[in-house]
Amino acid sequence: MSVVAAPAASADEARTARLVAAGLLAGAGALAVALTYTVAWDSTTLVEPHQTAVARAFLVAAWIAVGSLMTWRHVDRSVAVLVVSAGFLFSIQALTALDDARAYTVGRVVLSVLTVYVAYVALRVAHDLLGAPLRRRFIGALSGALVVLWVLALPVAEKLPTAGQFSYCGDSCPPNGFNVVTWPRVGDVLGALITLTTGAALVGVAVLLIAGSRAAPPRRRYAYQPLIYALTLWTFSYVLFTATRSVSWESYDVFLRFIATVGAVGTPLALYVAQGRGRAFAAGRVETLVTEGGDTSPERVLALVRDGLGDPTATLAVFDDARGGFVDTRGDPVEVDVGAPADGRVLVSRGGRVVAALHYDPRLTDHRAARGLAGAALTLLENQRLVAELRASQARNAATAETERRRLERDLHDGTQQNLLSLRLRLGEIEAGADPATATKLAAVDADLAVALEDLRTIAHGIYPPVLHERGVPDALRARALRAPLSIRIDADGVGRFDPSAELAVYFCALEAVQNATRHGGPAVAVAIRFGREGEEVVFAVSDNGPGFDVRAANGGFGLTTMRDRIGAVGGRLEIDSEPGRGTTVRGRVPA
Amino acid sequence: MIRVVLAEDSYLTREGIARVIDQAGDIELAAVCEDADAARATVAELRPDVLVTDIRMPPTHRDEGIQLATGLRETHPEVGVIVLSQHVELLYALELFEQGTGRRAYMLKERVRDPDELHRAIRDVAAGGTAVDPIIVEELLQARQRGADGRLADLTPREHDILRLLAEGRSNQAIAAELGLSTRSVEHGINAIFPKLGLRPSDDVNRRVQAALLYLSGTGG
Repeated sequence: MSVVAAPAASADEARTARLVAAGLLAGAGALAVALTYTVAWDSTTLVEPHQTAVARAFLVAAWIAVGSLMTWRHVDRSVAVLVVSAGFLFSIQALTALDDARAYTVGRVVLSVLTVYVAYVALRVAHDLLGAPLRRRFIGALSGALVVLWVLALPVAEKLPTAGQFSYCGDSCPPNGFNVVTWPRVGDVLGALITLTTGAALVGVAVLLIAGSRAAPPRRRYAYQPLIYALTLWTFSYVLFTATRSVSWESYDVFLRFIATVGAVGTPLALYVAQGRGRAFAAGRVETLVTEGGDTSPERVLALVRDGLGDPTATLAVFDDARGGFVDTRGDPVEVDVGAPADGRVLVSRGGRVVAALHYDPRLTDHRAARGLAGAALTLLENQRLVAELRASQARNAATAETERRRLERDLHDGTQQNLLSLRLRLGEIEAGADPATATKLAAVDADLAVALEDLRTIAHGIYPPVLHERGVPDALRARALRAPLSIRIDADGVGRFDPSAELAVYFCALEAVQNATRHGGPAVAVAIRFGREGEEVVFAVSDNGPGFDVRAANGGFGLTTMRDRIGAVGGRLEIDSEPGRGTTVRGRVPA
Repeated sequence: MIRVVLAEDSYLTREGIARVIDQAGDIELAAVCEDADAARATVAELRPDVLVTDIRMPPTHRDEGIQLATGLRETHPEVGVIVLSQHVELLYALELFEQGTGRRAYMLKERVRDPDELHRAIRDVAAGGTAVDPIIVEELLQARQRGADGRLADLTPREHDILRLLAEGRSNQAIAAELGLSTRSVEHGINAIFPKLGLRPSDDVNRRVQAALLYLSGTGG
């Protein structure tokens, strides 16, 4: 089985492309870090230019490096791109270190956009903690509010709202570079609202993640723990800093800046960890799929796949040979494009032919997890389909064999046996009128004929016991019991007749169990056979008080395999319960 | 003249048996039927002395002959039934005799080869008696792995009397009345007879019938 995921460039090409991309990223990243650092260090407006320079350098480096690492490790390209671009946006923030009013203003606006951006990235990565609709509403409301506030504030505000720890310029901040008319009070109010919105973005994300993780399974909660810590730290320091800006206590300031740096640098690292652990979660789901066995119904397999991918819209399609097309897990026909590879689709092929397809939302899911889950899911579904096919084929074989046996027995009974019988009658008539010498010869022929007829009867009986056909299983066993030298008690109230193939299987199985009892227990053994109905099934149990045996050691002996095969072929189940010294009970159930 | 109805679905066998029945001067073949329903109707109409019937016949090709015999015990108790079986089936034989052995016979079809045997059975059954194919008893005994004579010899004279009446299909009360015993004594006697005949208490087929068949075989019945 091979699993092909889009995009399907050759491995070598992909590797070269990735190397080039990584090199370019590293160069651009180093440049961004250097610029950020230098600009801040030499700033004349920032309150703490040196501390800010170091903090900013770390921030930019961390986001770009982690984003590059994500690209390299092929975790999820869309998230990797988001993280890298956040890093570059942070470096644009360097503009806030300049004393030029316009440059400062652009940097300040970027900074506030960046907060919402970080919120978006965090929520994107944690897609399986809260759904896309909630994320869209939250981010949409924040960015809408910010756009409106900035559009209103820029023309009228004299001063821009004070920024956080990474851009704090206190009283020496440059003025609004895009000021048209000055409405100081309106500007102040709008500025305060902008600060509030940014704060809401950070606090909101932290709250949403904490709430989402509480409702999530433990392994998933574990994946997002670092992210929650980092964001909480960042948010906490930002809120504290903004609320207590008037306090100019140097060591407090340094402490808050330190905490903010740890949170802001820790966030991309936490995102990386979340991705890795998230994949471990998906891998865990694959493991559950494969090892749990039990219910491998298509519905459950799909549920596990969806859960593992964190994508409730994922669908599985399997090729149905009988229908010559793909069907979904409900068995309804679906269209699958098996041509060009595409994002959001994993094709599983066997022997050069596509046999299954997993469709998922490519924005949500990592390809490798999708591939792993698709492969495991198909193996399970295939397995289940094969078992079902085997059962159906066994049932057909059993039914055919039963029909054949019955037809043979009937042909012998109604045809050959009757013919031989009438032959004997005619021979008798001739014998009566013949001379003594001929009569003697005819008698000898008749004796041979009698033997042949008896043989034929025995054969017919073995092919299909007449009483089984005429009366059903309990009476057929009673008839056998009458010839057996042992005590057999048969309890069969209300069982009646059932499916002829199942009757034949149950009869031979019970007979085998009885023969086992005599073989090992001798004529003193007592056997009890019980029949009953449970819903759509006929249940039976053959118990003896014989010597018993160790079922595990029997290893298919004692005719156990034959019994199991007979019952299994008609879609039933067989259980053998025995222990040395405690007798044996053979229990079975078959569909009626 | 003993009037007989024959029910048998196989053409060749039917013709063969019909010729055998016709050979006896004191037996008249009144009708032949090809299935159980026809046999039931014909018996009701002609009220023959004896019905000679196959077991497996249309419409269901199952145990029509046995059901016919059981049903006639209710509807026409005066009609004797001889069941001709293609193979030895103890279960059917015991069912046939369950309501008493009178007016019932179980024979293998092959016995018909000897016309006298069938004629004798017809006469016996018509007279209220019984006929059991020796092979039935043989099978019973084989399963018990002991000689019948030996077993019957183990019985006390009183047990012998009880068994004889039991074989006629009498109830415990009837046997008690006939022999001038209490019902309890009869029950005691019967309980003593079964183990002597090798019949286990757990055998869920009517032990009375098995005992009766063994008795009939032991007395040449």
